[in-house]
Amino acid sequence: MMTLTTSCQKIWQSVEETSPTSATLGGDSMLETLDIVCDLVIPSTETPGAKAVGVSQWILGAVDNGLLATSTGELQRFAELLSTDFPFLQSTAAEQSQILAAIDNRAYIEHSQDETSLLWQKFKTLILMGYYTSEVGASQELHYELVPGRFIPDVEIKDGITKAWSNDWTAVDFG
Amino acid sequence: MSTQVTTDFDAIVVGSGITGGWAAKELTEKGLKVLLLERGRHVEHGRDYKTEFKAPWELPWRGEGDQQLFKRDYPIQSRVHHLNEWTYQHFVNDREHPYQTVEGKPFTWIRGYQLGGRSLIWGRQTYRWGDVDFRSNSRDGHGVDWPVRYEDIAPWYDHVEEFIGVSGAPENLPQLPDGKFMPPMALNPVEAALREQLDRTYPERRLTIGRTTNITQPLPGRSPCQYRSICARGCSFGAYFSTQSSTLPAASATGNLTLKTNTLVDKLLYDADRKRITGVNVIDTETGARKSYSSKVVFLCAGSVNSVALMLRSTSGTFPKGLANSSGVLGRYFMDHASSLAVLAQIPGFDEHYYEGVRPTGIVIPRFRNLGETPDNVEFSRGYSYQGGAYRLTWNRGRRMAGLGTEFKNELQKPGPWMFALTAFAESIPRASNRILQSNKTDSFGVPQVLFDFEHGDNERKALQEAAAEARKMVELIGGRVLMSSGEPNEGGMAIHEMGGARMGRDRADSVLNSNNQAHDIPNLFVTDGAAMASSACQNPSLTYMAFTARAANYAAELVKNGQL
Repeated sequence: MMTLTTSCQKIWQSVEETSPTSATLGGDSMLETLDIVCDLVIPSTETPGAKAVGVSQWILGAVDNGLLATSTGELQRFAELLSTDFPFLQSTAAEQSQILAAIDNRAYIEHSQDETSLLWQKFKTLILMGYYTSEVGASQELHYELVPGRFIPDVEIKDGITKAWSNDWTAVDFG
Repeated sequence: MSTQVTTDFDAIVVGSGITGGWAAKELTEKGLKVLLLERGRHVEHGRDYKTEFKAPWELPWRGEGDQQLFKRDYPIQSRVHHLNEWTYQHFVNDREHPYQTVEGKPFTWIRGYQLGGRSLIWGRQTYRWGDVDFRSNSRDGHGVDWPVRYEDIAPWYDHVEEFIGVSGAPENLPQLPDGKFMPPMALNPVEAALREQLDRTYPERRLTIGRTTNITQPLPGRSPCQYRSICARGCSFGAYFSTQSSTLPAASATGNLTLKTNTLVDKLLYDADRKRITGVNVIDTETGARKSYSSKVVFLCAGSVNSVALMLRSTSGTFPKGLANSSGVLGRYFMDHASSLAVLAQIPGFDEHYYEGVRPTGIVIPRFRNLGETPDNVEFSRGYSYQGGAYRLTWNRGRRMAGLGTEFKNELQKPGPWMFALTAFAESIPRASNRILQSNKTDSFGVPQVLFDFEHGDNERKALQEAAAEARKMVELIGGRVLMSSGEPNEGGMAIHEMGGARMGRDRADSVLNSNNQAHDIPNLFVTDGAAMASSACQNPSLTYMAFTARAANYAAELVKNGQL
């Protein structure tokens, strides 16, 4: 994992140095792209989804800060790769869903090591982090209880209605 | 010459962490006027735990922290997962507190320079060492024989446990003696299942709940654990042992304590005529101003490495190689447990079972190797033990899952599969070659930086290899599918159990301290933190440091009161 990240960094460092910033992917276009991707991963259901809770904006800041060893250059590169065959923003909703599903399949089912797959693993992770650490994601979609005041070691789960605890730090840290 | 010397204080205690707090408490309660010195800032219990009640969404970086800040100021400290956006202020700034390592021998030195030291951020696991541990050096010839046995320290374990509060289950195991326990926290169903399988398959292996200073009954000024497991942020409930929650209030209540923070001890002052320490030279870390304090007795409780470093730099005509170092072993026989993630496994079934609350301790499987009269048929000396536990995955598993959309979101809403993690801790063999030195570089106060020359050895590697193999077999008893398993030790320092460097021993020719943690060479100098350890056992050492500190403090207090020091 460490090696993977390091080699990724090297690749993208060189990309950053050579590729000019695409005007179409700066500012609003980037936000629009991210919003679409966010909602394809975590849509609004009974609780608001990733776009609604502002995950895109959070990702822009996180990427700029270097979380998960990402960079703004990597994010731009990923957005470009989304548009490899046809401009992502100009595609229909169904096409956008197909494009992302194909990428997700390649990354997680085929375990491809191509650049799109490697970048997607990072940005999918960031979307999940952004969503499940937001107030809605952590405390409405999941269960959040800062001061439980109890430890009950064995609770029966009834018909799948028991939500996972977002603040089970052991589970979050160990993954 | 019995000229009465006037001193500023009866005792000076250097360091306010786990052992410094204990020294201050015991000495002040015996009526001594004590100066407690802490190099770091003041951290007021409760009031200064500023992130304690913050939700992830209330922090700028959602708990992950400012990556640019961490890269610049916490590149070493952030290697441990205890450090995050809630807790990083309880760890040292690496840029401001540099140290050196010998090339090819990396060492991770995790520290907390503030009032309370690492007592604010420690793992809270609290274990007695057994008789086998105090006999280990004499049995296999590594290191020198301990000048104490279990029965010498047992009453002090009682004394400490009753005051700090330890929850745990009695198991009647000689290698991990029972203590004065509060009711244990419960095992979850997967842990209980493994305990049962171990009992059946390996009767000599016992799985029990981690013994922890997270209390399950109230103590004066302290509430029982609230099951948040966010201890390192600081706990205003006082539910785990820290200097702030426990020993400092007791010491302050005597009226005999003077506390000075932001005060770095530069040197110990030695009077060659009287063969005594006369006091300390200090530096105000905010202003750079220098000052001296005198006392009848000095307790070093700065943490193993810093206590040894302070002795190494306190040279004089009598002690050109470091204070109280006539033996020449000061800095040597430095240890840290060799640890590795012995197994991480997915456990099938138990789908209908979950838990409520976040338990701040895991489980322990105590040592079972080389406990008999003759060694087991294994390729290593001494032993290892495991800590870990079972838990259900949460949203985080989505990072490794295919899926998009409603179905994916609904899946992540449920608790994920059960996992079982076991980390192995192998005993670190005391070796002369593993040592703490002074580098030729200085820090911003002009104090020599520490130089580490440390590596895990073959014995540790062989023990961890077996620990990994045995861990895999054990989780397979409950159908575990192994995802990760390593017998390669983590980098030196990563167990954060650094010990030795000023070891206790029977002979002044090959040890620094006697059976009372008193320097052989200087009767009014005591070293009672981990530096005193002559071997490492394989269980967490802090309780043993506390017991030795309390014992030494009571011994020293008697000597002071009798006018012998």
